[in-house]
Amino acid sequence: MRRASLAAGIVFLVFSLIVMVASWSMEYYSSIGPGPGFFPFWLSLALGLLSIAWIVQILRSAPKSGNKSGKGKEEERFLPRGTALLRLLSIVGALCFMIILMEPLGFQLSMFAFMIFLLVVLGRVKILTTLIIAAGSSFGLFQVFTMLLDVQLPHAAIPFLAGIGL
Amino acid sequence: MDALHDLLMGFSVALAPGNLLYAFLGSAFGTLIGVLPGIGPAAGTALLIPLTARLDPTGAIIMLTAIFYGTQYGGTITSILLNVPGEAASAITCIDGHKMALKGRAGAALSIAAIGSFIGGLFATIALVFLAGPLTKLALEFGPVEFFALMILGISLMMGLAGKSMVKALMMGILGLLLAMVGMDPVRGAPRFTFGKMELMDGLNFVPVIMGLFGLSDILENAEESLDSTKSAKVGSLIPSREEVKDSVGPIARGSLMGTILGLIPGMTGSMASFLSYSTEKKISKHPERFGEGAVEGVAGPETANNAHANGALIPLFTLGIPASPTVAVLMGAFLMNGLIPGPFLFRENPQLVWGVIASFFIGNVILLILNLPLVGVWVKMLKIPYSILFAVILAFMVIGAYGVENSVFDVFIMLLFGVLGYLFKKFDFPMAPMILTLILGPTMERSLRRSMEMSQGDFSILFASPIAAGLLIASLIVLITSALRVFPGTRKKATSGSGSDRK
Repeated sequence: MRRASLAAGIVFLVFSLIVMVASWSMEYYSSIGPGPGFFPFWLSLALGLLSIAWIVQILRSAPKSGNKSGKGKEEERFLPRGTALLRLLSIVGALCFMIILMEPLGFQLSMFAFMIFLLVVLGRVKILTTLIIAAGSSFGLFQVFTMLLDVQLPHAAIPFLAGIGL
Repeated sequence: MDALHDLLMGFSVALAPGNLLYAFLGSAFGTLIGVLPGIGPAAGTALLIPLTARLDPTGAIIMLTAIFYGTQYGGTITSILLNVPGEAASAITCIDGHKMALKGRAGAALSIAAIGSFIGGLFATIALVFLAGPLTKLALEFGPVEFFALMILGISLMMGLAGKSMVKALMMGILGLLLAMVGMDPVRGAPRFTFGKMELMDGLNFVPVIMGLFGLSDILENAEESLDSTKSAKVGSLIPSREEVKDSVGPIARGSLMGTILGLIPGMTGSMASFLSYSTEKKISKHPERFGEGAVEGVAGPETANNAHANGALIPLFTLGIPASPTVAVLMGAFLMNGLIPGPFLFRENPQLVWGVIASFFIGNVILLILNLPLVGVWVKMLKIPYSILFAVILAFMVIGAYGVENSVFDVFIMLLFGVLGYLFKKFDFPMAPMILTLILGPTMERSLRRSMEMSQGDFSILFASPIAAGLLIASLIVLITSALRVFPGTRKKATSGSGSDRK
């Protein structure tokens, strides 16, 4: 956890430096007062200083006690392991795929596949229930949102799929 | 008397059949979000913004505000029956509420909670009616300098109260402000941090950001545990005993007042209101040993306080344009999306809308009382849906919600990105409330400051020239210093650890 916190502190610091550099290319001050670069510059400077303060706090904090019984056993794990981590990554990965496929395949097909994956692989839901819920969440919600609520969910970009209403 | 006259005019708007329907739908959705443990009020309200896309602004705001305060009712049901808070503000109710359920008094606990919530909500709304006039009159005296100072005070309070580490709260507040800089600069129209993406020209859309930070991150966090659901206790008779009613009167009265007052202060969350009410009730009780064993006061007080807080938190939003909590910030975003700027000018320019929405709070609270008492069985049935199904359906709605705001796949990606970031922020115990507040207030703040600077030809002393602005800025400084002093002695030890979050 301590190492992860340090890494996060460094990420914040690097982020603030990037923003600061980017804000230099914007107008800092004009005759009528602060320009577009004024706020980002001072904010990134403040964020950078706070990141350093946080890093210093972490470095000055004693490593977790519990060293009596060997190293790090007591230390809180930053990320889960095993199946828990797998479940976590599966959700993120499935969402990534869904986002990538949403435009070529359209909302209905990509959401259908997404739901099948979540329900069968992660939820271990029975296949018939899965099919009903997946169809409702994809084809059903598509109709509700486009017809009743005026939210235009994407149709497939592939002409064949678009031709059959997907 | 002006207030009453305006309120009557508001009722004529709120009682229109369409608006009644929106208040009902909002209350039902709000209760549902409160009942479902997978999703909190901020993400839930953001999620349902696309539903209001086709409505007129009055209907949209009536529905979204009803969703917001409706979540406070629904959260109680899971706390009492499952011992799992539907949302953070009802967490404390688990202690005595669930104990009552185990003793077969779940129905009574639910009734007392619903009645307390109703009274708390009404009390705060009455406070809004009578405070609206004086507060807006005061706010109308404000120029850009005073507004800037007021926003600084709001943000300082939010940071000061946000978490254990002042450094982290400040970092998150600044991060929110930096994210608010993305898009066209509000004065000159110059693009900033857009990376050449057209989607970023209008800035980061707050709906996918909030859904990611508060909704997806919760789902990711829950995915660490297995997706099994818990068993619900039986509701039983809804009628509380005479003793239970007698014991609840005091806590409900105190909870109403406490919640309303705390709602006025930015940074005070509903959870803090319910927690404070619980500890007060325990402290003043003649039998504190009953707390934790199913004391009805431990349900009545906190449940009243969190509802009074929810409605009370709308007072600074309506009168000053300052959101006091992340969910209220979402509501503020919804106002802005509808082309409305909450604050004193709205009362002057669009009184029908403002008073219509305020009147709808009374109606919404009555609807919620009905939805949560005689119809509690419907919600209990919802609890039977296993989480393994629920999380997938919530994700589907999130994708639609994020996409639907601008019809853009890019926003779904933003939701995913902020979902992962939110998950990491929780791991590092970074408070997210200051970030959301500054993300939404950022553009207004920058505009106010730069307008002030234009007025003074770039002279910063203008910020201290007005006594009101100077007073507000000094108050902000005091808040930050006292919070830092309170926090710093402990931060060294806690820099890498700690728990607790104010995520809802």
